[in-house]
Amino acid sequence: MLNDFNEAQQNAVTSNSPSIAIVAGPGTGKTKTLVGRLSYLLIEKHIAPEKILAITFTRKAAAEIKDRLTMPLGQKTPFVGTFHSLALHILSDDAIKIADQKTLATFANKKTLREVSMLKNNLEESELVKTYNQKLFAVGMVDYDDLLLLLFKKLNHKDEIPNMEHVLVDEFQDTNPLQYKILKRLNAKNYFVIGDPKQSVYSFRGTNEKIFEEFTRDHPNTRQITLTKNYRSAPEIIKTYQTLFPQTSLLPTKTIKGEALLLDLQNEFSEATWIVNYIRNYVGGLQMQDAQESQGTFSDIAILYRTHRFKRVLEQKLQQSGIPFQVVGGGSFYEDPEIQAFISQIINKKTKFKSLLSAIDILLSASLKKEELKSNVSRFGNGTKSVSRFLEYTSELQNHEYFDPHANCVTLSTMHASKGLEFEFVFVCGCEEGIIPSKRNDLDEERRLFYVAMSRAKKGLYLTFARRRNKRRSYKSTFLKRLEIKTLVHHSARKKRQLKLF
Amino acid sequence: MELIVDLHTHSSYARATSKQLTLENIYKWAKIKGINVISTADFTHPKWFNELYSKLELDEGGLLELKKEFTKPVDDSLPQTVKNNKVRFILSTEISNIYSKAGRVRRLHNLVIVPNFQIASEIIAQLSRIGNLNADGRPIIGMDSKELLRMTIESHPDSLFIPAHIWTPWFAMFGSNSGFDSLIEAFEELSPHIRAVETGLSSDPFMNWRLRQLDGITVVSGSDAHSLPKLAREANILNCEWDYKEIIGAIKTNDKRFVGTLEFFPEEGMYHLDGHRKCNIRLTPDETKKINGICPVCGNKLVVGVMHRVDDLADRPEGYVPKNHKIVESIVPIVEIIAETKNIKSIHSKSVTDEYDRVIASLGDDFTILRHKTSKDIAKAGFLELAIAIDKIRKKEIYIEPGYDGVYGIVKIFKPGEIKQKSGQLSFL
Repeated sequence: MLNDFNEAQQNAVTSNSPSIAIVAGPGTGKTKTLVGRLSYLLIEKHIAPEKILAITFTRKAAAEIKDRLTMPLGQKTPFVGTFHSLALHILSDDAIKIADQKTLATFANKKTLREVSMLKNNLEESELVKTYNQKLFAVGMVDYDDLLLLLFKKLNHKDEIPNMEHVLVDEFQDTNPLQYKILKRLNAKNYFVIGDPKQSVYSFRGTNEKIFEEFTRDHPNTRQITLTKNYRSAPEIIKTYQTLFPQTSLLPTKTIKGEALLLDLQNEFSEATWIVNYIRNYVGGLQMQDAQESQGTFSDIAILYRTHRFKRVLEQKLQQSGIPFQVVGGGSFYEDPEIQAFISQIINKKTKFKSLLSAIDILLSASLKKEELKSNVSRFGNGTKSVSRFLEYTSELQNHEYFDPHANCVTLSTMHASKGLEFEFVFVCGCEEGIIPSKRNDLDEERRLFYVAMSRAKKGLYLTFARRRNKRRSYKSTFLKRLEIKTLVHHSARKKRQLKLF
Repeated sequence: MELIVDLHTHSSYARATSKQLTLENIYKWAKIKGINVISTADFTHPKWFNELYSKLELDEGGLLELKKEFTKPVDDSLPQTVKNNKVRFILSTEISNIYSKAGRVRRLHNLVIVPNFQIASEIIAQLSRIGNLNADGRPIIGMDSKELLRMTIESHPDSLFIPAHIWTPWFAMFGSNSGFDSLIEAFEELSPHIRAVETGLSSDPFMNWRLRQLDGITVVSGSDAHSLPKLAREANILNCEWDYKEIIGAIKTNDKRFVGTLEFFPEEGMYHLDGHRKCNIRLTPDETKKINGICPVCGNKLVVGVMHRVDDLADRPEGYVPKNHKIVESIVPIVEIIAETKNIKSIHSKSVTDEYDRVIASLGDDFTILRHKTSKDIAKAGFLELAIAIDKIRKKEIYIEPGYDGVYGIVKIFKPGEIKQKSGQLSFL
């Protein structure tokens, strides 16, 4: 079974050390290695599945791992899921009612809710949390963060601790303090953690790239392995993003052909126009008049930006061009509060619905959204299974911040939400001081974020720098100074002509 | 009842179309041309949809009728010969499906025809999730054509899906550059639901009959007009009641009610032969094959036209005609004939349109003249040159410089000096 793995991956899969920390750079086969480790434990080491826990950062990742795991005949799959699903799994006997977004919105605004969540995940007590908790308690509900707290408390009792042989943690750099404490309390015989400290970009959720160091401090004999062979990006692209962290050395796959370019453009309008023209050419024209040989299709391309604030002009130009696109986390139909409430209602209802359509009829009888939802869900069929298929789909969307991986559209996304995705061609827009890096964030975290964004690209990486943005002069990002990348200066013909006239 | 039906047109909301394509103008030109049932086109465009919804209403036959308040000013402006022509609309739209299948990018244009506004709005709701409907009346949707077919057949039993201009190189089901080699490849288990295919301008039914895989499938024609004078430059002839279900039923079953099609001369179509527009190279399929499909000027791949592509996929010889085949009538729009007799390039020039107005006012709509008036009648009404031209078209005594790589073919009805010579021959009448 080990033929498909390179040497470092093999070492990671087969190590006998009770604590293993794998640093897996972008495109180095992290998921493959984790799945390999699970198979190795189950098949070669004959560990019983119920003695294994695999914890992932998203439900999507859990689904992917389960999908790729081939189990020996007759054996059930070990637990693979997020910390939250682990909590639900262990607390399954306790009667818990989880508040949906709509209920929470009546307690506090979005900003306060984020603050509360941050405090809870850092195990910090405060007046704010106290009053908020009282409101929750009054309606007999808990929130998502409380699930972890409840789990943490439960594990305080020795006889409640599940007797685990192996605990594996994916995207370990995203583990927050509360989650790490839970990991410790699980008190498993063996820990296997895998991730990339350079891709830790969630400090606003309480995570910290130093978590790997903490782990090795807590487990002094940790076997540390670094995966360096990159299978995703063309050598030119790796060379570019690697300069952000000169001490790392990813080894490229020479057979992947591609390019990395810095586009030096006039302003945000020429930036958007350049990108739209690129996409039009790439797909081989949108109309008869500009038809030509096509190289690929819309879903090969992603446009990344620092925050949604910077997508306005892009969205406008794409809209005009007729190019189909989707915005990750950008107002999906399924994010609508009414639809969200509907989803949590079916989850919380113990009674089984005959079909998804009857659930819509019953729960949304008076809603204006009823027909629209019905027309949207015809693909899930009309049997009892339609309900679970629908829930699976919406939870997948939610895990991807409402990105539908099956839609053939150009993807627009924040750099944050691009984590875990990959595309043939990636634009990273607005490589300007104050945007990338953002003024409001820690410079090191911004560097990691830029690294994540660039490392999504397989064959083409295009960084854009607009000389003027929002009618103000802008300056090249400090990150660009050391970057090894070719520059293409492209200024509009009109401007050139004007210069000649003067 | 004989009906002329054009189900593939566009509004002013589609890309690269005339601003004149308003609902009232389409209604007006349908009367001038003699079209009985015409597509609303572009129903997926939100603004156009609203306009259609407010100006059209269902008649007793399930067809859409322009409300009186909008028809009156138009009718008042028309000559007696055409003002009483009856015109009805059918909701239809063209979708540009761009997607990958079996490792290649596919670009297909497909027509979706629906019975009413309710069904149309349900389809719009589904497409708006994944597509960008505001930019173009013919929206680009990153969706497998097969899924669009599924969506159409599930929407209503009387909805209809027609792959458009199936031979066009860049955007069609059998297109040489981004299509498939068979219906099955494109639509898999749903291919039995393809009941009709559209010839496009560069092919005619004769060419389509050469494919066994199209046996039993109705070969329809549509104008794909991007301006008013081009409406119904190709269309269908049906023999049925003024009834939506009847019309759709005729097309789906290909029975006696579907009489045949009115056709462009396929050589006139802009993708009939092979070649390179930019390199000024036009080649027949045989010539292209001899040089392995490579352009002798630029060294790149030639754009393979419709005739070549038909030849590649056909399993019957050229000239094959099935038993009990449908009628095929080749036409040239009257306004184009007038332009040629006057030796003027643009059909929009004033002397051409003035003469056209006179012809219509004294003889009736295009199709009445082209299909039913004798050349004697036309000449008697004072349009001798037109009479001679129509006579030549009916006898197919015309010359066409075939189109290629986006260049329209050029129809020449007369040789230099021929008009004068023929006009002198009184024996002609």
